Amino acid sequence: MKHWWLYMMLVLSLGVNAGVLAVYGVRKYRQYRWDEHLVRTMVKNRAALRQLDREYDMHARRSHSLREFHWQARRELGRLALEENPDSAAVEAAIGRMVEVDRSHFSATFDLFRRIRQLERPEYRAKFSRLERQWAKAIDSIRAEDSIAAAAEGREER
Amino acid sequence: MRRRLVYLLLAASLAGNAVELTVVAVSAWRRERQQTESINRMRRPWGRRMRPLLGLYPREQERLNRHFIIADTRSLMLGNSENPDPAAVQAVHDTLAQIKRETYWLIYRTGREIRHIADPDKRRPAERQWRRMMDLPLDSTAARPRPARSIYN
Repeated sequence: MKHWWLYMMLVLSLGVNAGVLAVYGVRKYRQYRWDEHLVRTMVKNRAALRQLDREYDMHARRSHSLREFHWQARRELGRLALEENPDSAAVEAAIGRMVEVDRSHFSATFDLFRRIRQLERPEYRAKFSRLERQWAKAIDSIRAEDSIAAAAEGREER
Repeated sequence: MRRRLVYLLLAASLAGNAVELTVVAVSAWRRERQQTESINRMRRPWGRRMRPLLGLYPREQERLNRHFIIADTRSLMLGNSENPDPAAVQAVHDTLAQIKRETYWLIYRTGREIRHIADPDKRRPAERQWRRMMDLPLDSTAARPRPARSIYN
């Protein structure tokens, strides 16, 4: 065994290769199982799952740029509030910019939600509709609490 | 002949190792970068719930938060319906925007109140909190803009 180190190196190197490939395989398998689970429970098919990923990714990118505009205006508002005599037009403009960004974000989120609904399985949509009825009840109870609180405030003021 | 085969195998295996290590390093770097990006995104959330700065306007804050939740849920419900009325969608988004506008005015009014705190030991921490909330530099001298016109000209 003159060249035992050669064999040792070969065994080690092949071991590293096998280990890396095994880890890669296990991870791919887990991802596959998770995707299968989503396809079984949530989305219509694998193409829909890929589309869902793309939609979320696009929305995240768009939101990120909108958020930067929002924070620029927010910093401006924060700075104006600490000034001696802030220009009221500048304050109004900063708030207006923040609101416009919010409006774009509401609209983008609404559109995303509509597109996602189209990719979902009918059973999942039905489940969501049940949730929706619960929300409606929650909104009614919040409104009822609000009206009771408003009436109590009115009595206090009188 | 046998040794040549071993050399060949070893060379191929080492080349494979190099490729694998490169791929692992690049994917680890990309994952790290993505995590940093997502942390940065989370650091600046959209609707950071307004904390009761200085304990001012708690009722207005509560009212606006409640109204926002109601309008937001309504928007979600419209999104879930088969054929939402565009006018209703526009109306609910207008409501949300109006609530946001009121909220920002309230935030601004709260910021203005800081200037009227007479006790400097109370004013300084409130100003720091304000600067943190509005993402301004904490050092007040650095954040304060230079006057547009100097008193000497």
